[in-house]
Amino acid sequence: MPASILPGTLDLLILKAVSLGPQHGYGVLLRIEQISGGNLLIEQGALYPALYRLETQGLISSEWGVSENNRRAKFYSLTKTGIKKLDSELRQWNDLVSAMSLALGARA
Amino acid sequence: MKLPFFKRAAVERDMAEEMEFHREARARDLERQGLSPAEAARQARLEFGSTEAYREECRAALGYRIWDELAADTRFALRGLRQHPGFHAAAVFILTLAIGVNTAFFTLYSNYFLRPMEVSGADRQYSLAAYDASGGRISGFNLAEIDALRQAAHGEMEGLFTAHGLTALVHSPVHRQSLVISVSADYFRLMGGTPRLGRTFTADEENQSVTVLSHHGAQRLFPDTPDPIGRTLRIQTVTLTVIGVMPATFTGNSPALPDLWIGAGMRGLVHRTEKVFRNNPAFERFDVTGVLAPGISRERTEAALSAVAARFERPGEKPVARVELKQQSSFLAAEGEGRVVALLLFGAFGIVLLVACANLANLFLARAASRTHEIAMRLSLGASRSRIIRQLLTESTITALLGAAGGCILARAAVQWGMTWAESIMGAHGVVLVPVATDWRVFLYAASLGAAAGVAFGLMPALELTAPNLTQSAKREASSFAGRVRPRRMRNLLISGQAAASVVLLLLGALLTRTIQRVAATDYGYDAARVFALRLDDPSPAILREIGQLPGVAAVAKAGSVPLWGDLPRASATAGGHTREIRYNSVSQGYFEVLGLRVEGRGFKAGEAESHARVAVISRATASKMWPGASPIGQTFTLKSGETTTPEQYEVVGVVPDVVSGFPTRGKDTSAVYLPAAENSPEQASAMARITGNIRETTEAIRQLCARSTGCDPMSSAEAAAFQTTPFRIAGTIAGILAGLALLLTGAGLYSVSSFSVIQRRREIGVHLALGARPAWVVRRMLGEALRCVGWGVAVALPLCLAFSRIAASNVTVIQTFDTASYLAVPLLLAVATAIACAVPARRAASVDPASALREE
Repeated sequence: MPASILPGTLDLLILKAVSLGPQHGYGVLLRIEQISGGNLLIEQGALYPALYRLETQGLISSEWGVSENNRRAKFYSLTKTGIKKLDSELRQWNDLVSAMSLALGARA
Repeated sequence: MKLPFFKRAAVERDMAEEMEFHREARARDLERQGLSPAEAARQARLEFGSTEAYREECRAALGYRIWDELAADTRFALRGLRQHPGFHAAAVFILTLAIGVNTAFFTLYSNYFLRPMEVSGADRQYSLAAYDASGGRISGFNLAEIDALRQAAHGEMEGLFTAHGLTALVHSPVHRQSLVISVSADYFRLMGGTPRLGRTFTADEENQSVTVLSHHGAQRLFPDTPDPIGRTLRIQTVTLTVIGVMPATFTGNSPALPDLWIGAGMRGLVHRTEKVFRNNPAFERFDVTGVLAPGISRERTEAALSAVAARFERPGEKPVARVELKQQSSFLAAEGEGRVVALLLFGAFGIVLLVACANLANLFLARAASRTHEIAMRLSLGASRSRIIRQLLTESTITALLGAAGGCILARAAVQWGMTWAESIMGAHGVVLVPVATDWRVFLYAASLGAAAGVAFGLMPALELTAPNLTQSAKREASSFAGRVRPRRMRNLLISGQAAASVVLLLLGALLTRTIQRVAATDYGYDAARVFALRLDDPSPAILREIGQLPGVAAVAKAGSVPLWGDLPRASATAGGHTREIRYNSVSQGYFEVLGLRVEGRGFKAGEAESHARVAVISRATASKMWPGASPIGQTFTLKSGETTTPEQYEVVGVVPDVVSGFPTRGKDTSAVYLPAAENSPEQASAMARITGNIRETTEAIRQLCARSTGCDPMSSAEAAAFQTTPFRIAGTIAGILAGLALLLTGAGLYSVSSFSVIQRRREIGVHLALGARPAWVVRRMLGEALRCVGWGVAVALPLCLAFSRIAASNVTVIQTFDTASYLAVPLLLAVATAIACAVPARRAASVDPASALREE
């Protein structure tokens, strides 16, 4: 059953999705669903404030282009700063997960 | 991504388009999964969520939210202003007054101390300060030394110049008191000024009798011709030829525009300088300013100058150890004492603003009571406390900025009026002031004061209004804040603060007024209006004899120091084994007759000075000091002054009553010894006369008499005294205005607080009255509370003032810093003001109808 994502992890997911190649908002949504195997629930509209925030922080950049079916769409791609940030966030996330697993798996 | 304000509409469009694209794409995917187009579209919309909410979040992410909220708050505030015009008009009026006086003062300060002069290279101007080895300040360099410095810093500085102003009497072509500035030859070049007629000084004209006129100087001195080049004018005994006229836009580096400029070397001839300079003009010292070449460092130039200055020969004085450059791009530089005075003045004006803010805080607190319902509604609908505080602060800041705008207008008018008044006084002495400009600094200052005031008086009511009150929900009372003590204490605290501030300003005004009164009422010991300093260029015995023979002139004399024109020199006198410091004056035979003093014993006989007779006439105070109880006539004492190398013995031949010989504020001389002076002795440059006839006619007659040979400009000692007390009068007027404002604001604040308290406590008053209290009791109670409030403020302020005056007393000898009458009168004045302010509210309280008051539920 798909789990709703933890607050604060949406940014990380977006960065990961965009790192796979430039994509518009809807495409990012599809990609996240795809790479999570359909196991994560994302509120669709909540994507956009996060995208705008990440752009203001300089982690992704946007450009208007043409989508697969000749419609005008805004495409997002990762900046150099974004790549660095993605790496550090991933490391932090892995550290957190292993620490939590260790703690929760401890026997009395 | 920056905030593209001008592209806001485009950004909004893009946002809408982007989200629309998303929904359409989702709808197409759903269609492909088998739903009907209508069903797919609906599902896509549901899945997307609340578009408007997300758009708002996007706006927040872009940074627009703050500005949107600010715009909304502003619109709301303006609506509130329109709904309660009376209340806000009162607030704006109070702020206009308070910010206005502050801005007016700042306009003057900024023009003279902050704004760079309108000359080229103003930002590269530095004044030279010389110090000796122990850090003591050495003042000035003579012309030869300035030349040496100029050569030493040839590569680093564009030039060095001096500029020294003095007032002198021009005799021809018109008879006029003029401001003259003596300058170095390259002054005009360094200031970037080109003459509109003729030329300026060449390098060797510093000692020549030539002059450059200013624009208005040419108009005043040569009104009959548009081209005065080549004409001459006479100052004292010097005839100057006009070689150039400067345009009206040239200001130079002085806040006062002169009539004419002369070379620095001519200063001694034109100005009645001290005896030592008359004999040795080479030693006359000047303050020097330098213009640094662009890109040159200050330290390097200081090193070059110090190296040369250290080699200057100054026998008998401490040699120069180093020269420092102090930047001075504005007309005046505030340093040392000046800075302290400026700070004190800013403080005094700032106090008025604080009082106004306290007043407004009280007003807004009172008004807040009527808004608790509105605020409570907002809080319950989800507004955060900080958001509401921000909105309330926007309201108060807008009101304050309106007050600041009004203050700017008021300040500008006040400064114009003040400058006109100052010019009317100074014009008689030949001084024309550079116009004062209201520039961006003034506007910025007023706006900053407005913003600060807005936060200051808006924050407290905002915090009070939004503070959570758990018990309020349980009660339902018409008068809000009921049961909460804090607001009332806050209001009383504000009133006490205002009272304290008023006390400080009132005391200042009272002390200054008393000083002026005391000086005006001083008994000089002679009729100061009839004693004239003749101010002759060349007081020869011949001219004095002629003046003495004019009808209306009772006597003439010469003296080292004319009474009320300056302190007497000091010397030490030894009598009967005791040595004391006394003050002395070298006077000619007719001195006592000019002052109209009766001499016990005898005065000086003719020829006594020429024969160096060692006789002296002393004042009564001196006599009782040196020979208490005995008659001093015939006694001898030894005198050692700065001018004599060995002590000399004198015999007392006469005693005169005590008079005021020094500055008028000093009071009667504590000691005065009069020594005989010869009529033609060079030390006595000052001639005096006693005029018993019609003053105007007689002074005119004297002028006519002198015009043939030398010049003269008789001025009475009374006028000199009045001139010297002008600064006190100005200060007293300003202090009076500030104190009056503070008192008015405090009174208004008291009135509003009392009125509000009556409304708030109607039921309580009704209960008291119903239970048998008399109206007079209600009035007494209310007055008592108000007086207690004010009393706390006075109790805090008076000791502070006393402590401060102790510190000030050591530095300020002219103003008496402790005056019993003032310290008693000011609290009394405040008490009376309190009673007046509370009169109407008290009457309203007394006339409360208990029945109707209790019926209010």
